[in-house]
Amino acid sequence: MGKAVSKLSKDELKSLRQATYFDKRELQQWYKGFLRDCPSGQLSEEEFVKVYKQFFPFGDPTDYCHYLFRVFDMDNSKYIDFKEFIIALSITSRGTEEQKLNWTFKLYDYKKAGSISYNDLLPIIEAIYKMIGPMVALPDDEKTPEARTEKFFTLLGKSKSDTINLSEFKQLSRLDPSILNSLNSYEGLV
Amino acid sequence: MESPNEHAMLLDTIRSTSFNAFQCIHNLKNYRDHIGIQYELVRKLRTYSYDELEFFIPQLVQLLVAFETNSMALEEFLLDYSSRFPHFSLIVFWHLQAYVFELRNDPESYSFQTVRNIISKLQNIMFNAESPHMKQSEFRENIQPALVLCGAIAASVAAPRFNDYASALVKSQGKQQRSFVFKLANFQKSLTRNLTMKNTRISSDLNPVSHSDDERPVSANKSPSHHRSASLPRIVTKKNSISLSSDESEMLTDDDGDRKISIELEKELLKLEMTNTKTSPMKYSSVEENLRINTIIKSKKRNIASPITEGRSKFTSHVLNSGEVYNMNSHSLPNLSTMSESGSGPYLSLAESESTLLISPNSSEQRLTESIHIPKSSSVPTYNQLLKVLQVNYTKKETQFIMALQNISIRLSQVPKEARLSALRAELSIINDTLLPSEIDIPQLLPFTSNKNKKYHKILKLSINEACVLNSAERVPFLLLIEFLSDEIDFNPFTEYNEKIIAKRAGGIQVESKVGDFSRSSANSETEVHGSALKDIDIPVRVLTPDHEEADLGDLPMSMKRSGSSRAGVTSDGVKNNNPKILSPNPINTSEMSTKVLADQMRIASVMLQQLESAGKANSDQSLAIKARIVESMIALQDQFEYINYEQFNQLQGDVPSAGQRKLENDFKLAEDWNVKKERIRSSSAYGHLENWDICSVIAKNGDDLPQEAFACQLITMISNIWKADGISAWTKRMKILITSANTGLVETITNAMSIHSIKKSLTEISVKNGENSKGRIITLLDYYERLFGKHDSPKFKQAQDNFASSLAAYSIICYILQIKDRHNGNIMVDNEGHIIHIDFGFLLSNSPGSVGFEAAPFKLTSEYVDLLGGLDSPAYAKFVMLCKECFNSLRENSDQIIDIVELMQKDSSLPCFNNGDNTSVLLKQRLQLQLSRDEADEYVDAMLIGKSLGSMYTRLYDQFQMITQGIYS
Repeated sequence: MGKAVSKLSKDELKSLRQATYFDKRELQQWYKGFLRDCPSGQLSEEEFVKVYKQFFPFGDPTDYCHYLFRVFDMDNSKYIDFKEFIIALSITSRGTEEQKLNWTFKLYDYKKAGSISYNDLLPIIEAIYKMIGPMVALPDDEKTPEARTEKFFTLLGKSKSDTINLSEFKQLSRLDPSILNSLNSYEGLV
Repeated sequence: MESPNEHAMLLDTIRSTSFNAFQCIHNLKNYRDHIGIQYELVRKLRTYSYDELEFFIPQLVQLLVAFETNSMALEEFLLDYSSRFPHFSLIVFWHLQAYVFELRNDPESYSFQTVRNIISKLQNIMFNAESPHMKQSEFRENIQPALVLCGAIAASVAAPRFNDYASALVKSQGKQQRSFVFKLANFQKSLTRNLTMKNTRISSDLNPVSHSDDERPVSANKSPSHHRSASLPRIVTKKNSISLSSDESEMLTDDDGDRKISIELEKELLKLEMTNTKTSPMKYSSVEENLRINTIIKSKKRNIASPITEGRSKFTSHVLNSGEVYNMNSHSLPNLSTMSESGSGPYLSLAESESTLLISPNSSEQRLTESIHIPKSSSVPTYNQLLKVLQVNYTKKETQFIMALQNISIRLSQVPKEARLSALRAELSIINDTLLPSEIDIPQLLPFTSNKNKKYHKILKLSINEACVLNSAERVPFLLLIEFLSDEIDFNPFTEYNEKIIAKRAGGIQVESKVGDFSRSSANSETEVHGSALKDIDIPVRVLTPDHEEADLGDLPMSMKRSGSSRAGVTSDGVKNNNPKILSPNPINTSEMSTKVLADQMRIASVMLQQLESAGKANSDQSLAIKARIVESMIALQDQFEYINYEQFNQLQGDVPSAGQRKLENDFKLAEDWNVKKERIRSSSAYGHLENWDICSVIAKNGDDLPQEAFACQLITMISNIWKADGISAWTKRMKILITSANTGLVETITNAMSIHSIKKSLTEISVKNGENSKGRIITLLDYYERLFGKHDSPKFKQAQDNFASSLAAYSIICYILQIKDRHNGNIMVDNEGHIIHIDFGFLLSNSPGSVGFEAAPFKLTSEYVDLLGGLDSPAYAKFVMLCKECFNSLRENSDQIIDIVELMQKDSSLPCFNNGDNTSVLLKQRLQLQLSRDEADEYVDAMLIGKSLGSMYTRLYDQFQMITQGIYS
């Protein structure tokens, strides 16, 4: 596999500067960083899973990575390229709450139906729980993925047979301060 | 691919209470490719007691340096503990310095880069009070944590607590600096270039100067200054890449860095040029001119520099303002490089690296001395800021003190043997005058004792008349008695005492310390001498030439030469001319002189001796005559320090009943002797009336085998811990050695014991003298025990015999397992309770002195030992055998710990005890005979260990055992 070009072209820089919160220098830095870990310039799902396994050795991140990878891979090419990576990073690290929630919604709305049902949500939460394994102590009403999923609907005053659309999804962060807290946990870091 | 289950079990293991600190370290080594596991292990690490973690610092540092990992967990842990515990930071710092020396020939290696990186961060923690956590929120272009960050945000809505776990990892991994990988090519080029340059210079150096301390000046007689400047720009650019790679970690090529480094290099070169001034004094002023200009340029550029350099920028401007540009020059040499590089950069040549390392902390001291003060930006300093000021105050003074001690023995080595004691006392009295008393202690050797209030000891003074030079090795170790107040100081910013320190610090340089006081009290350079006495050997030169203030270059050989050219001349004639002036106050008058003046005279005298040597005419009649005179006056002066104490000492001695045998026997009652000594020192000490006054004794030692000795002591402590946990009554002495660089350290002294060699020698001499021993029979251990403890059936003797058995068994098994060699009687001591104590671990695991098989027996078990135990059929001997078996089996059951720690430490190590490389731990494992059953192991101890050891004494007995041996293990 040929090595990707070591610097971003002027045009690429220009479009990425518009698409992200990063400046020219930062983009070049991150691009170099990206190529260092991924010399082909394309990150496969398998490699993606490997990274997560590094961070979550006591759980199994495979399922979660499968869902998450599709959020990254906007053009459905089965690879994450630099552009897809840096846009995701820009939103999650420097984006507004609104932007983060919009981006996050895609994870749950993997069927691209515009709304998520109990049965859509449960496997995601199961995947997350599977990944964390025993590393985080959870409150009683969140002990199981099912309980957590149910709490989701209860918070919104809905029943398990209802669905949640994007705007309802966004309300959640107002209803549960810990969500907002978590969304902002990397504020000003990158 | 590993199954999740395996790691789930690992998690249970890690979280179990039986998982000990060393297992944790061992697992950190085994799972270094797993970021998440590293974090879990480090989290566990934090649950162990501080003392335990301090004990394992050598392993933690080795783990960090020799085992490549992508995890930041361990590094973060070490830095965090360093910022919280000043002792921790010092010990880590000194160990890293030792690594710099070890790795000096491999500067492009992962290990070297890691060491440099950590030293830099550590120095910032230790010496910089202003910005304790300035890089905390940095996130570098690390893809892995960035990807996890995205996933963590995505999971926020579904599982908000997810980030409780993920964010710590992500933040920590985000900080990783990895870009030096890109710089490697560049870096190597520059290195080659630098080395080439150095080689060229060295080869042009026809007359190497004989001084080995301080930076060795390369007298490039034939290269004029403009030649060097011409070659500068080349190196400049290369150097830049190195510096950026570790400190900025970015691909920046802005000019700022360029200039910063260029000045650094230029200064270094200029420094070299200074040596030329011997031959061409005219150049000196132009060089000075140059320097001033460069310094100014530097301070301007500094504004855009990275945060690390800000402190220094202030300092620089201070220097400029006070018009002491030149005076500071010596210290700003390392200063110009980044903090981490003060002398330890990769451009060091082999010859230089060692000495530069010795200097480096000092130089950082010096520069930080000036810049420490409470940040002015915040009107009310926070608790943490105040705490930081106190901690920096401590580490700064501590490094200064330790540095002063270890420089002494290097300097002593250049003084003729007969004058060493007086030179030592002079040096120590200078330390007393300039550095003590001070809120410092000695990490590991003089640590805080009471766990209740966590207070530290405070060193008052060095007991000068008790200090002595230990032997005439090339590097001169010396014994030191230190007066201290136990549990005296702490880091609570709100005690009255500490508030004063903070206030001093806040005033910055004006109220710096005694040192500062001195230099302010009078402007002439003579007093300034005392200010920097401990760092710069050139003081006497300044005494000689008070008008020559520029001479302060912190570089002994250099300044001496210059003084030679400017005043005294390097020839013996010049020295002679100065002689009357220096030695004029004859010893009779000295009682009226202050110790300070006296000490100065000593220094002058010893520097003059060195000058004589370096003049290359040391052997001419004239020089010899001068030398003899100087030495004579030095010896005359040696007891003049602490004059009053000396008289008291005599008085006290007069009180001791000193008649004949009784006194001589008293000398052997060492515990008593130690207490007598202590009382004597106490009663003559100005601090003796203080309730928590105490003394301790340490040996300042130099030599390449110190890190190995320290490791041996650590292994022995680990082994005794295993036995203790197993309830075995084997006895060992837990010795401690504090490593302060690759080849210096402080060794704990065993105060109430004597070597078997000395015991035999003196007792034999006494008995011959008293006419009890006309045949000159060598006194045996049994004789000694009977003399000391009474008849062989007395309870006191029985107790001593029992102690002997339990310590002999312990050391026998230790000597076999660790293959400790060179076990002559000088290396084995007996204490006042009858325990034997092994010391001096220059040979263990793989190396042994002399030819192979010289000490073929598993351990030393002489007929004399057996006699003392009461013979082969005695109960004490039976106890010894039983304990040997228990000890051996206990180690077999806990073999992992010992094998693992050796395995960890042997990697990439150049210590002689690891000469066998990876085989070292394999052979160790073989000695533990893990394949044997418990009964077989007992037989093994009987036949193969005790039998063989005895056998080397009693050949006939050995044959019997040989039969048994062959019957079982053929």
